[in-house]
Amino acid sequence: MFAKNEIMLKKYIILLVLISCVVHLSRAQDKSNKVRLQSVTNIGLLNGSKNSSFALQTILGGAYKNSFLGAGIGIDYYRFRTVPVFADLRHQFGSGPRKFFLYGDIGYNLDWLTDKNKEQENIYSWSSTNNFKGGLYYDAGIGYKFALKNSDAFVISTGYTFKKLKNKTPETRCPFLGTCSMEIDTYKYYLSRWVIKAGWSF
Amino acid sequence: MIKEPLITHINHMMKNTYVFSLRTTAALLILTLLPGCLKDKTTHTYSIFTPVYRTNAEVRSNIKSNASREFTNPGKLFIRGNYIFLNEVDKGIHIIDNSNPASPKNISFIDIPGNMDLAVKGNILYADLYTDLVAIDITDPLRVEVKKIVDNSFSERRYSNGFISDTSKIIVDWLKKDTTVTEDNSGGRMLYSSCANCMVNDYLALSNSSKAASPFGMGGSMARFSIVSNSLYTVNDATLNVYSITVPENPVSVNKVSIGFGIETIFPFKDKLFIGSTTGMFIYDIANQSSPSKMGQFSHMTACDPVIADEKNAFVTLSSGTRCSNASNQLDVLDISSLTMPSLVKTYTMTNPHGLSKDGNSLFICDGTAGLKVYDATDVKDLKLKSNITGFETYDVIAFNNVAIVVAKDGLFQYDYSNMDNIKLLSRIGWGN
Repeated sequence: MFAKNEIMLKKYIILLVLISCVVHLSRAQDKSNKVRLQSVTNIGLLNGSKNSSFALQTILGGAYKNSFLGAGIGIDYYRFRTVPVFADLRHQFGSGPRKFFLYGDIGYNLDWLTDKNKEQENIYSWSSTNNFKGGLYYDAGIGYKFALKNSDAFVISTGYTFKKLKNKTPETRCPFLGTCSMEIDTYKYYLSRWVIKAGWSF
Repeated sequence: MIKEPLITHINHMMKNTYVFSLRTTAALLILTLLPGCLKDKTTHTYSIFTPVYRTNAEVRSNIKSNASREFTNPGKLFIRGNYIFLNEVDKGIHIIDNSNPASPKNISFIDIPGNMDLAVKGNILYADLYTDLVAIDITDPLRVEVKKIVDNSFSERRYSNGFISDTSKIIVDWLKKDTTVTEDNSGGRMLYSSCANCMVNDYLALSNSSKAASPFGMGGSMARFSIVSNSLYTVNDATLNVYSITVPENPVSVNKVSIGFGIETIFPFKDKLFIGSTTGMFIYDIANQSSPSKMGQFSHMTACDPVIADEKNAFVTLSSGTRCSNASNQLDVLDISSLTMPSLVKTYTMTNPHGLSKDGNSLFICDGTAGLKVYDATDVKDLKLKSNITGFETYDVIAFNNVAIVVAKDGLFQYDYSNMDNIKLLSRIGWGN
C-alpha cells in the first residue's frame, strides 16, 4: 500500500512539472493572446474541529483580464485522505503588482484512504468492511497576489472548504441454519475546515 | 550621508512589511480561533427493529395448526414418519407432508414465537417458545394441541444490550425501519452504532440455537434438542438440561448440568451424548438418564462444530464465519473406541462445512457454498468423494432411508441416494430469492 502511495505521489509531482512546462512553453510561443494560460500551485493548511492537516493542489486554466477559470486536482489529508477534482474560478481586484482576489472551487472529492484511515474506522464497528465513496467538494475564500517577474506571482489565500464522504459497512449475520441476513449501516461525513494556502502562480 | 528619498523609500518598505506581517498574523490568528466555529458532522443510517407484542394468552391460544405459510427464514428440521417439521426462525414450525418425497406438501404452520429448536417423541413435539418449553400433541398434524408449557426452561433467552422487553407480553414479530441520526464528530464511527441493531443481534444470535434427534424421529446434526428413551436433553450456551418425558405430554425438568461455554449442538448415540462446542467435543454418558456424566473430550481450535457419531468414530465439522471466529474449515474424524480419550484419526480440508449425516458407510456433508458432498466412509482414514452436488449453499442434512433431506440457503431439497453412483433430485421447496 505504501509503495502504491509513493507511485501516486510521484505521478502527482510529474503532473505538476508537466503543467509548469506547458504553461511556460505556451507563454514563450505567444504573448499576444488575450487569454493567457496560467497555473496555480498551492500548499495548504486545513484546520477543522478534528485536527489540522495538509493539502496540496494544482490548477491549470486560462486568465482573461482580471478573471481566471481553470480545473484543478489536489490531495486533502483532513481525517481521510482524498483527492479533490474541481473547477476553479477567481477574480482579482485592482491594477498594481499586488492584488486581492476572490476564488471559488467546486468539484468531486475522490476517496483515496490510507490503511490507517480504514483501521481507525474499523475500531468502531463489528464490521471490518468499509466501502468508501467520495462526494461533494468545495472551497471559497479571499487571497492576495504579489506579482513577480515574468507574470509569476506569489499567492496567499484563506477560505472555507468542505468535503463529503460516504461509507457503507455491510455486516452479514448467519444463523446456524437458514438464510443469512445482511445489515448495511451508512455513514456520511460532512467535513468543514478553514484553509490557508500559499502558492505560486505562473 | 544618506539621501532623503532613500530613507523615505526604506521607511515605506518597512511600513509595508509591518502592515503585511500584521495582516498575516491576524489571518493566522483568525484561522486558529475559527475552527471552534466549525464542526464535522457524521450521520449514521441504520435499521432499527421494534418488537410487536402479544399477550401470553393470545400467543398460547394461537399455538395450533394454522394455515400454511411461505418459507422466509427456515432453520432446523426434524423428520417424523411421513412429516417434516421445519422451523421458521423465531416464528414457529412448518409442517410438511412428505408422504411422497418427490412432491412434498406444505400443509400447516404452528405459530410459536421465538422458536428455534424442536424434537419429537411419539406424538408429542417439543419446541422452545423463547424462555418456555412447549409440548404439543401432533397426532393429527392438522389439529395440533398444546399439552403443556414449562415456564422459564431457557432462562438465557433474554434480550440484552440495553433492550428490555415487556415481560408481561411476548414478542411475535419485529418491524424494520430505517433511521438516521447525527453523531459526535470527534472520531470515527461510534461503537453504539452497532447497538442500534442490538435487538437484531440478539434476534439473530438466538437463531443460532437448536434442533433434534431421537430413536422416534430424526433431527439434523445442528440440533440442540435431543430425545433418548424417556429423556429430553437440551443444551444452551453452558448447560445441559434434562427433562423426564416418561409421560410424553408432561415434560418435567429433572436436572441441569454445567458443561462449559460455547455449547452448540447435541447428538445422541446409544447411551452417549456427543456435544459440540466452539472449543471441542464432549462425550457424556447417559446410562443414568437423569444424571449425565462427562466421559471424555476432544479439544480443537475455536470454531462452529456440529458432531455426529457411530460405533467407532465421531465426525466433527469445523467452520469459520461471522460467528465462528476465524478457524479453518475442515472435517475431523475422531476415534472414539476409547470414550474417555477420543483421538484424531484424520483431518480433511473443506470449504465451509456445517451439518452432516451418516447412513451406513455414506457420509453426507453440507459444505456451504461448495454444496452437498457425499463420501464413502468405509475407511475413515481414506474418505472417498462419491458425489458433490453443487449450485446451492447447504446448511444441514438428514440422510435416512435412501432419502437425503437438505436444508440450503434457498430451499429444502430431497435426494434419492439409493444408487450412490447416481444420486437424483426428488424435489425442492424453494424460498428466498
